Amino acid sequence: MQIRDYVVVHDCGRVINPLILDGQIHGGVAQGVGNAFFEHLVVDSAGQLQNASFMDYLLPTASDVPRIRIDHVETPAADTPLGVKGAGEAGCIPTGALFAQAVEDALGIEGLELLEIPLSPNRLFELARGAREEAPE
Amino acid sequence: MKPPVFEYHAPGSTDEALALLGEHAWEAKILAGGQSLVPAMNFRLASPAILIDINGVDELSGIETAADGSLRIGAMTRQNVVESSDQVRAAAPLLHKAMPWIAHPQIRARGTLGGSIAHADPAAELPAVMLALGAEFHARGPSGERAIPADEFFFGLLMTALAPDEMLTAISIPAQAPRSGTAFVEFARRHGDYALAGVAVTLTLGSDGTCESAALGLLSVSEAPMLAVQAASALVGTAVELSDAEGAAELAAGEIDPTGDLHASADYRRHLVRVLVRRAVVEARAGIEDRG
Ligand SMILES: Cc1cc2nc3c(=O)[nH]c(=O)nc-3n(C[C@H](O)[C@H](O)[C@H](O)COP(=O)(O)OP(=O)(O)OC[C@H]3O[C@@H](n4cnc5c(N)ncnc54)[C@H](O)[C@@H]3O)c2cc1C
Repeated sequence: MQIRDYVVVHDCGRVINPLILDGQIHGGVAQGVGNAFFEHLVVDSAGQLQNASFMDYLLPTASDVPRIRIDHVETPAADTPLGVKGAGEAGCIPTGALFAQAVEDALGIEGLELLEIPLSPNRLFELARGAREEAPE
Repeated sequence: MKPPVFEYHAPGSTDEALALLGEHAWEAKILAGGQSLVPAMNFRLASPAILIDINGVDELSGIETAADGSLRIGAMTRQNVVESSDQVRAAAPLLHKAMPWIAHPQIRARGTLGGSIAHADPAAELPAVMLALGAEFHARGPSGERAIPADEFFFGLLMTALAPDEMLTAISIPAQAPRSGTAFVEFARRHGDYALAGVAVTLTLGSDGTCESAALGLLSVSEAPMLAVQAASALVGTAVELSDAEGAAELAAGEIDPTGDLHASADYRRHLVRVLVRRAVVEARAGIEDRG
């Protein structure tokens, strides 16, 4: 899989420090890529964590995070002195859902609806196979 | 975590290393690049009482090209040296292509060719590549030197034909035959991770343009790195069209004995082998035409 483009249009009210803000968004998207494709705690029936090291609990690395294009819409907050709003979370919150939509679109398999993350290759294989088996002739 | 206590030796020659190994065989481990052994010790999956560090044995590293074009690569040759070697690129393009798939540059700067082969991880690239290349491994022990063909070397999970008092000294690789093509493909969750499945292919065409010989090394789909023997022999005599590649892929998927783990079910591995073998065979065949 290759992420071909990633565009964020972001509104945190008045932008005070654009460099720090972009960094926050980059970090948020990276975390979102982790949520979308990798991060998953696997616990067995006895409650034992099965992936308690970074060898098995995967985080996105530099080669998994795309270049990110950023633009800002500034809608000043009415209730804060500088018109600012929080900027920390917006990068990561929509990421999982929109990758699910993008993967769904890229696969183009009729009846395949991705309602969960992380989208590991193994899970995608199962879901795609399930959708194909259920597809009407 | 930190490893349990161990005794450390740093011999300056192969003879010295072998003497130490002869004395302590069952309790001792050779330390090469340490990229598999040291993590295993830190996780306390391995607890050798004695480490014999062969990083100071210069005679164990280096790449030589023989008169017939074949390569002899010392066991301690670093993976990044193999990766950037023009000799390797010329004589064994398959090995050259596979190197960047091993871990990350930092690890290839320490990890050795011999270490990966002796470790015999079924998910590692090099054992499967060595099988597809028809390589031969040179081992030395108390009763002298012997050569072990790659397809008689890998037995099971991390198990090889090496006796506990033997060490791997060098690897011989035949020069790629004329009218041959190769490909290495694998699928991993992230670049640098151990692959969920991978395929190394060598194809040679005869004068009539049909396949004269084929070898397919598979990784991560069995307890040991393996050759897909049925898939390879099905390719022989064909023109290696897409349908032949698909036929080989189907056979390979039937030959493997995958297990499921956190990242891939056995079923998914079978699916990957079907896809990867087809792609690798097609790519290897196309590579022959490229070179005219
Ligand atoms: C984060 C990480 C990711 C990795 N990813 C990959 C990957 O994707 N693919 C991959 O193939 N590898 C991967 N590796 C492993 C790496 O390639 C190792 O370098 C290699 O498997 C072992 O080589 P080494 O020289 O480090 O051997 P060591 O760790 O020193 O030794 C490994 C074993 O082989 C034995 N041994 C070593 N040399 C000899 C010898 N000459 N004679 C007899 N016995 C010997 C040792 O006693 C030990 O049991 C990864 C490692 C790390 C840390």
